[in-house]
Amino acid sequence: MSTAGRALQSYLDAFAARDAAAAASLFEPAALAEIPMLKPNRLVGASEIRRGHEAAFRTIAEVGVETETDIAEQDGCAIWAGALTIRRADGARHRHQSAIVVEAGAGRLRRLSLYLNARNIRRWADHAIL
Amino acid sequence: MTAIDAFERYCDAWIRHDAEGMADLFTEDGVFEGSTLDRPIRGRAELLRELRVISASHRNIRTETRLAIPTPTGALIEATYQAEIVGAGGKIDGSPSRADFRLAAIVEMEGDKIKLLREIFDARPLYPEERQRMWTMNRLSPYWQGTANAKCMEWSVYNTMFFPMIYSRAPYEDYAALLEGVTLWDVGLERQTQLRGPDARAFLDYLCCRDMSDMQPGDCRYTLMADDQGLVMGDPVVLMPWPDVAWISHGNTDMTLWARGVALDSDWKVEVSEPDVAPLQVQGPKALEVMRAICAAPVDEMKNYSCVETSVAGQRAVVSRTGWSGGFGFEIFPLSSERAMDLWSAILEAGEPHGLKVTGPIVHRAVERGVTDTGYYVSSGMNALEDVGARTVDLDKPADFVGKAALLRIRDEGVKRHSIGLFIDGEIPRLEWNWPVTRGDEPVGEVRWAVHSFALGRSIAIAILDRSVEIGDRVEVTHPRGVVGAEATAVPFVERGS
Repeated sequence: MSTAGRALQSYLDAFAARDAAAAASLFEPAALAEIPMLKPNRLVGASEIRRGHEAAFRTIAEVGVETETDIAEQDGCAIWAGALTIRRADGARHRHQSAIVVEAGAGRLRRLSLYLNARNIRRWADHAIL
Repeated sequence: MTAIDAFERYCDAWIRHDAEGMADLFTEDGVFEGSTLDRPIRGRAELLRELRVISASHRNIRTETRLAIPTPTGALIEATYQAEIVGAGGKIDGSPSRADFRLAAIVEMEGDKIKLLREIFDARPLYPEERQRMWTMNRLSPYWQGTANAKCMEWSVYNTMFFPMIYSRAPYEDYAALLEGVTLWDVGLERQTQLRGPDARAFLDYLCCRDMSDMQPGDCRYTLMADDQGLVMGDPVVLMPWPDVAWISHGNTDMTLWARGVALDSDWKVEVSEPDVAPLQVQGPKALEVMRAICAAPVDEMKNYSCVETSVAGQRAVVSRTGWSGGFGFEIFPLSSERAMDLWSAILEAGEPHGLKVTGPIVHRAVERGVTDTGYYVSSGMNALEDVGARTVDLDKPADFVGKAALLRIRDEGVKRHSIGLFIDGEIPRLEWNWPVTRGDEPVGEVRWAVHSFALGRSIAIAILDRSVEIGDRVEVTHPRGVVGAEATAVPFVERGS
């Protein structure tokens, strides 16, 4: 597996473990992470990336990563597709079709984009879905 | 053909609105999934229908594949999508309403055909951050929770009740659902003024500009209602579900208060009330299939503008073959709102096999068909002989009616204005207030109803204009984006079924 592929797999492992530090350590100093359920949803730099993941994981009790298509790699990029199952701290459960696209260089992630539909469905509730 | 080739061809066909081209890329049981869809689209017939509608709801479409990586069974792709939304009227600043996003696509192949295409993107930026907020000074419809569940974004207010208008889809998607499928509307805000008693029929006839005296149980009839000055107050459909009861199913005017006022301290032996009846509309060519599944009465045999008491999903209700769509459909009037959401859920379940969509009133189609609403005439000084429904005013009916004397005077003096259609040049913004119409320097009236016509591919309007403006004449319309030309034309703009 290439650097991009390995880094993406490591990110999935860190996400499943809700380990913000491990996730952030995979990124270059000026990397970009796009996480749609966060505000702001574009995180720049390892410090911001770590804080953003910490904020997300504070509300999540358990994460499941279901891989539907093995990581595909090409020219420093990699894509994963599957589903994230989330059990929130309040007990609510959600399953989200997801994909993650990464670009890597020199052993670390330069860009990570998490694709999932973050639109709240239950509009009268103010909680986030992740 | 590789998965990446197939995706590129799919994008090209989408840009061309080529539904056949898109469907041909899939296996017979192929599946398309997208983040804004409530459920996957499965099989050729559904792909042909749904992909045509969704792609046609956008224009000036651009796609770009940023990254495409083959897999053993297909490909994983990252791409961008940019498009304008058709018929939404644009933003307040005049820029077009848009759907722009980046997506990840999963393509699974079977031979050289697409077995599965799944597009994943964050839909949140495409819509308002959250739904419109409610105020306690107005009422919630008994079906409000259903409309919120169905992702209604924007409500108006009608008879002091919130009226769900716009859901989380492009305008053409709802329009196509009405013309080709079936739609469910919460019109719990459409209230009934009930007249009951020995004088109910005669009192009804007195309130209406049309001859209602020969209405029989099971009849429905459209009419105008005017005040003592002959000014239009309402254009309801009247139902007569039982021999001694009439329901004036009215628009955004408190007809119950009006009728009570007319009856107060009079000799009329009539009881005026507003029962706990909150209607729903099931409209579209597939409405019959949905109604067959839930209605005890033989709905196939119901004539247009008829009604019957029956049971719907186990609840007593009056069902009528009426509606505000200018097309085929039914209204359901449950005799109590106590189990409103049970009824709502039953209709959703019955409609699911037919692709039922929960929508607001499809104003684009209503204007095409010349159907107006209270907002068209209220506060315009419009008398009943100037309204779109003027042909239903029966000044020769023997009985007196409210406004008759005034309308007779108006007729004898010459009706000064009329309701007429306009083809407006160019695209128009959403109508938020009435637009002045001029002919040179001369003000001749105002536009009171205007939309993009999907059937005709142009902007249309209904205006109240000086009678001297005739079909074929050119006028100018001043709307928020400027002064544009328009040509007077007949209403309706399209015939039923077209």
